[in-house]
Amino acid sequence: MGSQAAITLENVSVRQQGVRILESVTTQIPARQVTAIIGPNGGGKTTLLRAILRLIPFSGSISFTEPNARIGYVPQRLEFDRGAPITVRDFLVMPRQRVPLWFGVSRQRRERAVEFLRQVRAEHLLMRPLGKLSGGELQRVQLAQALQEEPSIVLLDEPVSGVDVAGEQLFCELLEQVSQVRRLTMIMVTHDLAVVSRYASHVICINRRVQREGHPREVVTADSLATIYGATGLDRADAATFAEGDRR
Amino acid sequence: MQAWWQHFAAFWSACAEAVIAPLCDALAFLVPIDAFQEFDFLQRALLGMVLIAPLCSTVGIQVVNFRLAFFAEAIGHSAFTGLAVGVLLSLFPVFEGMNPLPAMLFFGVAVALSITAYRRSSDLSSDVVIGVFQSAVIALGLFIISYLLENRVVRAGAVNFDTFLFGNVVTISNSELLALLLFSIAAMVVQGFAYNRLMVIGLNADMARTMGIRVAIYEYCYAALLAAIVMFAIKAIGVLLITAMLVIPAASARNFARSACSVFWWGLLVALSSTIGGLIVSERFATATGSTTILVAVVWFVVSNVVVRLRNLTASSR
Repeated sequence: MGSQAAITLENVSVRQQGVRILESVTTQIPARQVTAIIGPNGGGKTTLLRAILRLIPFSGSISFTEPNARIGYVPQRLEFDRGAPITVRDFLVMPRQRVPLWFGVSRQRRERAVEFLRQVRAEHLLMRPLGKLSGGELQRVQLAQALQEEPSIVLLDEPVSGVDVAGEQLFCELLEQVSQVRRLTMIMVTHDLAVVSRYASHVICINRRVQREGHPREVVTADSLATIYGATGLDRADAATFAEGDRR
Repeated sequence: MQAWWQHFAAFWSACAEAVIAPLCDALAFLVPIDAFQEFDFLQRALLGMVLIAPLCSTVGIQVVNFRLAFFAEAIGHSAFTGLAVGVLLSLFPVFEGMNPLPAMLFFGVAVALSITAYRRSSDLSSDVVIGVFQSAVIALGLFIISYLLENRVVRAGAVNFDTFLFGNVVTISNSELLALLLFSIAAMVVQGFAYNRLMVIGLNADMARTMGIRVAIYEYCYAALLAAIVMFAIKAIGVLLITAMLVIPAASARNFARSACSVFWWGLLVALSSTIGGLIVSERFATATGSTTILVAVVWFVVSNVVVRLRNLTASSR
C-alpha cells in the first residue's frame, strides 16, 4: 500500500449468536482515499463497517492513526414516518442545537445547514420534507449531515442502493470532490461494481475474511470476482464486464 | 401510630391546598361558564386537563414518528396490574388507605424499562416482545384481582375499576394535581433537553451513536417518561383511551404541520383544545370526560385529513 494507513485492523473477528460473521480480518484502510468494501451478501461488509464504528463487540484491534479521529457516518437508511413533518433543515440542525426544535432554529444554525447543503449541491432542499426526497437527494442530505461533524473519516453504508443512475453519478462525483477537497478518508460498502471501478482507489473484498485487497485494477478481475461471488450468484459475465470496463 | 407515608401524605395535602387552589381560581377565571366558577371539582378537572395535554401531545409526537403506539398501549394496560398491586399493598397495615397512583407509577415505569431492556438485548421483533410483556402483565393483574375478590380478601366494589377503565378527571384531588404539576414541570424540562436527540435516535440509532449520543440512556429515560405520563393521564382519560390521547393530537399535528417546530405547537393546540373542549362538553351533556375529549380530538384529526387532501390537490394541480 502506497499511502499511510488511516485505520489498521488486526485479527478482527465478530461472532453473533454463535455465528462467525468476520474471522481474523487484518487490513489497513489508506488515508485520504476512497476505499470500497465489496463482497457477497452475508459476507460481513456492513458488520466490518459497524465494527470500525464500534457499534458492535469484536475481538482483535482496530486502531486509528490520527488520535481522536472524527468520524462521519452515512447509514443505509433512515427509519421514520415518511409523512412526518421533518424538513431537511430540521434534520441537519437537530443533533447540534441544544434548544428544542419547537422553539425554532437559530439563524446561525440555519446558515451552517445551508453551507453544508451547498457543498453537496442541495441547498434548494433546505425546507423540503425529509420524507419527500428522492433516494439520491436523501443520500446527499445525509452526506451533508456527516460532513457537519467535520470528520477526517467518512463511512458510507450502501450509499447508492435505491438511487437512480443520474443520482448515483451525481453522488459519486460529490464523494470524489469532497474527498479530494477535504482530504478525507472514505470507506464505502457497496454492491455497485461500476461505482467501485470509477471512484474507489482501494478495494477490500470481504467474505468472512479478506479475500483480496488493493487497487481495483490489480485486484478485481473477472476471475477473482467470480471466485468471491460465484457461489452466491454474481454472473460470470457481469464480473467479466466489470473487469473489462475497468481496463478501459 | 401513623406510618411515615401518612405523615408525608398530610404534609403533601397541605402543600397541595396552598398551591392548587389559587391556580384553579385563576384558570376558572379564563373559562366564563357558570359551572366552572361554581364547582371546585370542575376547576380541578380543568387544571388536570390543562396539565395533561402538553405532556401527552409532546410525548405523542415521538410515539407517532417512531411507531411506538403498541408500546404505549402495553404501558397503559400495565396500569391495571399496577392498580392490583396497589390494592394488594393496601392490605398491609403500613400501606392501608394509600392512593394506588404511586404503585401504578412504579409498576408502569418498571414494565417500560423491562420491555426496553429486553428489546435491546433480544433478537425478537419489538412487536413480539411488547406483546409478550403486555399479556404477562395483564394476566398477573387479573390473577391478583381474581384472588382478592374470589377469596373475599377485599369486598366487591372496594376497587373502582370504572374510574380506571374510562377515566374520571372530576374526581382528581388537590394532592394528585400537585403531583401532576411537579411531574409536568420535570417532564417538560426533560423533553426540552432530550427532544432533538430523541428525534435523531428515532431516525437512526447507529447514526446517533456515531454523533456521541448515548442512545441507551435516552431510550431508558424516554420509556420511563412515557410510562409516567401514561399513568398520570389514566386518571383523566382511562386505560381504554389513553393511547388515543397520545396518538390522535400528534397525528393531527403531523397532518397540519410542515416542520419539526410547528408540529409541536399544533400538537399542543389540538391536545389543549380537545381536553378543555371535552371537559366543557362532558359537563354540558353529562358524558364521560375521557371519551368526550377523544371525540373532540377525532374531529381535529378529520379536519387535518381534509387539510392534507386539499394540500395534495393543490400541489398536484401546479
